[in-house]
Amino acid sequence: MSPCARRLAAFKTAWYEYDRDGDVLEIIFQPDEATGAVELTESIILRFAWETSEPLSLSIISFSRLLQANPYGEVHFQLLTDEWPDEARDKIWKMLQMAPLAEFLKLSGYAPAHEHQIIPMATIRQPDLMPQAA
Amino acid sequence: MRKWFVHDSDGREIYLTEEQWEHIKIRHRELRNHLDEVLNTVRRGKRRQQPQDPQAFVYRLRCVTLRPPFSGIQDGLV
Repeated sequence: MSPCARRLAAFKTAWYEYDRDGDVLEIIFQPDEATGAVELTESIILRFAWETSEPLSLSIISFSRLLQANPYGEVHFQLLTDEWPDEARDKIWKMLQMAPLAEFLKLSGYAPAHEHQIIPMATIRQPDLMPQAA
Repeated sequence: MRKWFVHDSDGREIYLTEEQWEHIKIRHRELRNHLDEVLNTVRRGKRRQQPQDPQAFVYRLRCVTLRPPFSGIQDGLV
């Protein structure tokens, strides 16, 4: 695992650590102990501080495969909102809409044909991610 | 290099390397005293196959020894 740093907005820094064997990219925002974690999507895990609603890290599993090109453009991954604990849902939405998470994940909605419900999705902001892992 | 070997509920052999455990102890400090629970998550946890990589899985298990309100361990493994 080879760490590297990236400067974020608001004078903050994120550290990347890519496990090539496991194909897992970790983006670390703060080194604190987590008191909460949730699967944002099937492949993205968020660790956070419950009391302050501060994101601590993102783990992206099968990272290189998630970034593989496809003929339709950006790939949108379904957010697993139904699986988030009720008491954590508001915290997670707020974190997703703000820096630093918003610098790595872009929110969107998918409207399936013949459905009234909008399905929440997220796209990985590829240009911001570590080139050595792609 | 030291490795810990466990089998998941379907008999798959999974290992954790010392390098990976050192990473967890530094970057996931809340788990640094929970090696047994991390391995137990693979042994007994629910498994979710990764849609983009059929060889990769996430294991989840409720863990009562983590500091509340934390309530579970998630291991991402290939």
